[in-house]
Amino acid sequence: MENIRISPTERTPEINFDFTQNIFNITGESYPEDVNAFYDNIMEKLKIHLAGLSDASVELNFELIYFNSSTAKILMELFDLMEETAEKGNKVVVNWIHEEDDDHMEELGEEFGEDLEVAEFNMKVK
Amino acid sequence: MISDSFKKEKIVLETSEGLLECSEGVDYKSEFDKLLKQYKKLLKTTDRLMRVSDSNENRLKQVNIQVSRQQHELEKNHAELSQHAEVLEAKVADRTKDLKAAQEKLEKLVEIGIALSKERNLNRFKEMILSGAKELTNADGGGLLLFDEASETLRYELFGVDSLDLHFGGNSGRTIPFEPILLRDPETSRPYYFNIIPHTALTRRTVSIPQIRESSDFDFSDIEAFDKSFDYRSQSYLAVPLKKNEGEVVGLLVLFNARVKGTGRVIPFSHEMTGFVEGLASQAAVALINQQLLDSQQQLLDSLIRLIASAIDAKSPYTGGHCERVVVLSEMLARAACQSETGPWADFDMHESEWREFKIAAWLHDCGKITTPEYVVDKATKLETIYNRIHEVRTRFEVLYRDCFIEYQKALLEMEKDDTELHPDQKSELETEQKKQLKVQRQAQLQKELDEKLNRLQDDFSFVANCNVGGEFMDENRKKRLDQIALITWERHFDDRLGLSQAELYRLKGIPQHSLPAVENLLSDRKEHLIPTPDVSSPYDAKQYGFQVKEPEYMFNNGECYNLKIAKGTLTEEERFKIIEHAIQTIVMLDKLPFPRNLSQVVEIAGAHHETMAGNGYPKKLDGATIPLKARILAIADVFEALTASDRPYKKAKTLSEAIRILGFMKKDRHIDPDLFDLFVSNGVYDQYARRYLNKDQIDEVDVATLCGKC
Repeated sequence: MENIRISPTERTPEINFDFTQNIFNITGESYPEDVNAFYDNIMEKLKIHLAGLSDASVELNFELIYFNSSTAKILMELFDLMEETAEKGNKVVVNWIHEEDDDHMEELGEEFGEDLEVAEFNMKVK
Repeated sequence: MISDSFKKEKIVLETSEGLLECSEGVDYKSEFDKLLKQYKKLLKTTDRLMRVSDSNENRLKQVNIQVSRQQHELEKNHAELSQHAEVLEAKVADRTKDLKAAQEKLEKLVEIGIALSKERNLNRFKEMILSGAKELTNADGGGLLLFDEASETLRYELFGVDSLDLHFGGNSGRTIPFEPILLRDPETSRPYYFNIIPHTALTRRTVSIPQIRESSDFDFSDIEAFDKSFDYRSQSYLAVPLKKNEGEVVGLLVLFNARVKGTGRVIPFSHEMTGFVEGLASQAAVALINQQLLDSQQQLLDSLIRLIASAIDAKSPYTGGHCERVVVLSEMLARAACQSETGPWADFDMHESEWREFKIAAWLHDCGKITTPEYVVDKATKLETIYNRIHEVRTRFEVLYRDCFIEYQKALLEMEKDDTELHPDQKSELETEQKKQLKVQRQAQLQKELDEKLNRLQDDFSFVANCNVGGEFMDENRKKRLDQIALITWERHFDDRLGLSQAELYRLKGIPQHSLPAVENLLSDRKEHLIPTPDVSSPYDAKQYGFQVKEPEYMFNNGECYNLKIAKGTLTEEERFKIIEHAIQTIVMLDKLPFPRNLSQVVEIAGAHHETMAGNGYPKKLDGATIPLKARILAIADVFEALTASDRPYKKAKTLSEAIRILGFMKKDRHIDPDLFDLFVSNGVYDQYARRYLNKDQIDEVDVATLCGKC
């Protein structure tokens, strides 16, 4: 599958999905006007790709500064997807990267990380 | 409406609803499980979303608080900023005001500087320095001190306190009550650093005392004493040295009690004020030095002028002091003319610089006399050249006298010889007796002739001598007699070309020499008596100057008869021209001097003192319309001094009334300005002068009433 590289805008994050290495980065701020328009296509591709993996190493890096509630629901789906992928026997690592003094992001990361049981979850300070 | 984010959940719901509607063959349990699972997930999602939302809100709230706090801060900063801006604006306004004041002071400084450079009166100049400094600082009092090098002291030239209306020195008319201030102890030479004025002069630095009563820097006992005696309160004090370029102190400017303009509150002399006063002081010092240089130059010029005048006066012992007295007298008369408020001289006035010009003209009015031969100035007898030639003439008479005697003796001897030689044998008694008688008669005859001749000689010499003195008018009879006397001859046995000067020999060139003994006339007019005007062209161009004087053909004519025949007085036409020429020389000499513009009239005034109102004076034959007013004053002074001078060799000094009477004739003949004569007499100028310079026996009653207007 072709890699996805989307440059950041004021309201959308930088997307860097490397399907060959299975490293997926979401970096920046996310409060798009239309969440589905931005994420649907990406999510679909990711879902298909991950569904085809077995015994693979997958890394997902979140380095977000701010996201809105609509994005939060997308993020939850992503966390579910990662857990599913891990359950299927893949080695999945999810990294939540935040600024040191950003308590809010830290809190949200911890909250989201609770769902992951099989996949590995790391909180990282930038 | 449910948002697109919940597409999946919607689909689940719709599916469930569809199942409920068809209700056939549905495995409710599994469907319910699916639904339950979905529900749980939804619950979790909702719960998380709520928490995300809460957290976001919380954060939002915090951010909000922070924003509002920052806004508050911002507002505060803004307020502070605008306050700063206001202060800045006020400060700029203040500074602008200060700058404007400084500019005004600077303008004032420049103004004073210009005024200082223009002022020629030293007193006014000094006052200008002090008043300028007081104005710049708004000081109540101050003083100007000048350094006296000889005594090494600083002397107050001016001192004043406005609020006390107290002013000393300069034009105030009140003498400075303070002693000169010594810079050092006269015995030990230790500098008086403890006293502010010597301190400033010695250190050459400005000293400013904000409050005398709080200062212990100097000994202020002098100032305290002043305060006590005048009930004054000296507070702030400033002493600024007046320095030459090399830094040498020439004086000091002191100021005290600077005041706020308007309120009069006493303040210290600010740094800025001090700067301005120092600026003024340096300008003043330069101007003062220039002024002093100018003064000393002027003094030098005046002394040179006096030197010339006294040289002229010294030339002749008879006219001694003339120039000096003419200056005094013409100044008196000029002052009277300036003061007169009625009559033709009412409008006459003289500025300060005109006075100087006038006085210089008076001092130099006779400067041309330097070129006039002394024997002409003082010629007291007609035969006088360098000496009175009457002695020479008298010797000729002596020769003749003896000749007569010799002739007589010769005749007697001849008679004896005739007796013995012609009649040696005829010795009859009768004959002898007759001859004896004849001889006696002959002897008596000869004796008589001798006596007559000798008497005539005595008489003739007396006549010649009388002519020489020039007391009597030479009428035709007298001239005729002189001619007859001149025809008498005598015999010269000596060479008259021996022992002569080159000039005499030159004049004798071409004149044949007579063999000795030569027969000479008793008195003669000879060619060698004519002394030609030197060949070198005249030092002046009479036409260019407008001189209206006829120059005689010869410079001098020393002819004996010519001189003795002078009708009146003792001067020949040639000599009279020499006298007149002094006025010409005065003009020519003065005209060559580069007088500055303010003295440009010196020549006109000095050169016209022999002109008359009638137009028959000399050397330009000016008249009432063209003689400058100041020259008329000088003319009267010149004549009156000459008339009353008690030191003429040929004239007895005239009495006051006589001199004024003659002056009155001169008014009548329109020789002098009649209005000025009236002023001279009516104003008592003559009297004032007479009391100072005339002998007591010359001073008599003058009939002022008859003299004025009537003459």
